[in-house]
Amino acid sequence: MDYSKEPHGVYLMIDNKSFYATVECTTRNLDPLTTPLVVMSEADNTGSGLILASSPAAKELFDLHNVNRARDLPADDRLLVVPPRMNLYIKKNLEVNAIYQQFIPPEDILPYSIDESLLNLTHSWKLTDNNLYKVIKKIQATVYERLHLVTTIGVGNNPLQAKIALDIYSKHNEERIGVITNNTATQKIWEIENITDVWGINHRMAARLNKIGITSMYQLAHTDPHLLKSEMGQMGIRLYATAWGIDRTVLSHQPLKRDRSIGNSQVLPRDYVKKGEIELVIKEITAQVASRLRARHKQANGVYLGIGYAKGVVDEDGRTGFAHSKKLDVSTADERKLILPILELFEQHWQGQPVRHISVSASRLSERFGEQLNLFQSRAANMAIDVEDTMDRIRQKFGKTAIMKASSLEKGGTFISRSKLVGGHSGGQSFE
Amino acid sequence: MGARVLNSFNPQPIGKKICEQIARHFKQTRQTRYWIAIAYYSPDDCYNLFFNSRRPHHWQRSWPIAILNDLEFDELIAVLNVIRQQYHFTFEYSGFNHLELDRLQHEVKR
Repeated sequence: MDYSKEPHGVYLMIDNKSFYATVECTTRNLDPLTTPLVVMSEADNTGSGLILASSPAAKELFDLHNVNRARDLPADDRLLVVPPRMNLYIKKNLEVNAIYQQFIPPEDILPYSIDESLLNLTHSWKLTDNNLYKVIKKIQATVYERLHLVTTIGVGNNPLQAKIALDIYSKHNEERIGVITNNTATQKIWEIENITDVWGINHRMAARLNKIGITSMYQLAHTDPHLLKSEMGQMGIRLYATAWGIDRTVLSHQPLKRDRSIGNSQVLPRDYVKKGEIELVIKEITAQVASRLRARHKQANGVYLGIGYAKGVVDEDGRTGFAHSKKLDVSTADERKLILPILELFEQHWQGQPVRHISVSASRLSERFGEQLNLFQSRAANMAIDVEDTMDRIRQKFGKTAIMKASSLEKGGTFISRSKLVGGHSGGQSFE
Repeated sequence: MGARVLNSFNPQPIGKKICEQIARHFKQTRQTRYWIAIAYYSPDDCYNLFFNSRRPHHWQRSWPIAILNDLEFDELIAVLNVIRQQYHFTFEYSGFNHLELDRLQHEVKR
């Protein structure tokens, strides 16, 4: 492979080590490397509790992982269990990214997730020091000094190499820095033993690769790319490039985004069996989706409903749920016009199974140009969207629960309890 | 500073709100130790308060009960004394210098 024409940039993928747990430790003046602390969400829909993060000491002492359940925690009084504070983590993430902006311009930073950011230092690292290693150490040290957070860094000639260097090579060395360059890409990527450790390859993808006889990155790199494309489509080509450490992304180029859909989903706090209760939650989620549509100045010409049955339940066809979509007659951001076709989908396809998961999306989006008036509807019905716009403004000003439908007070409603959550977990309920 | 605090700062509303937070989490259980951790958190220049519990053969729990921004040290002492009127849990301090620790030991009622 000729890498001379490939990008030779300087990219850093920076991860905040055990982010939530470290933030919780540092706000208590505890050392995250020696304090066994876990952040556990006890929201209604997590059952007895879901572990969102564990400190390095908790991982080492008790062999804990994220997505463990409360039942997996040992009854050991050395273990410190704390509730999540999602708002605090978002604030800290913004502070970390603000520190990065002292080293490089904002257009060269891509916040990748709540605890990972991609930095393009290609054109700016020499402004800090003539030695790249010293620049990287300085970024690490600045984040630690100001926020007491520990960072691990992957370095590469492109974003892909930086990400793989972070995931595979930075976490187990003392410097907490991993490096992959065009010169070392093939050696370092091909020697990865477990193919699912590589970014972009999950267990399902590994199984698909396995079906065509690929079990290692080396094999992937040496498979005919035309075969990969015919078997897996565009994804096959992307995986082939991954195996060679090739990524031509230009960070500052914003890709044209197609608004595919806006949706929300919920894992219910228990199995719902009554039709009325399920419909109530569907209506609540649809109202939320419609509100998000209006906030983004969009309207939808299609709807989607996904239902997941309770654990172990299957329907006549052996499926664990169903998902269907429907094209609407008119494009709308009116919650009432969205709810009707979604409830029709539910009515058509639900056969009485207990339900645990509901997702609703609005699709076929366009810029909001207004509602189609209907001569056969009352004036009040045509004006309903104005009422919803007004409710949006009241909520923006006074909070989500300042105004709501009385039906949310009925049994099964989840609107009130979810209004206190951020990303499905507690936003932090201490007094500030 | 102390004179200004005494004249203009009313610790009662903050102290009462913190007591409400403690009441949410305090369920008197046998063989359980409860205490309040007060941590000065330098990155945000604020005081973080946590309600902690520890019971043999169970996990320790630690609930955040307050983040006190824009509070002077004297004002913190006044707020802690309001909490002390209602609850007599041990106060455990961290992130304070020797001088401050000394004042906390002497000026916060036991």
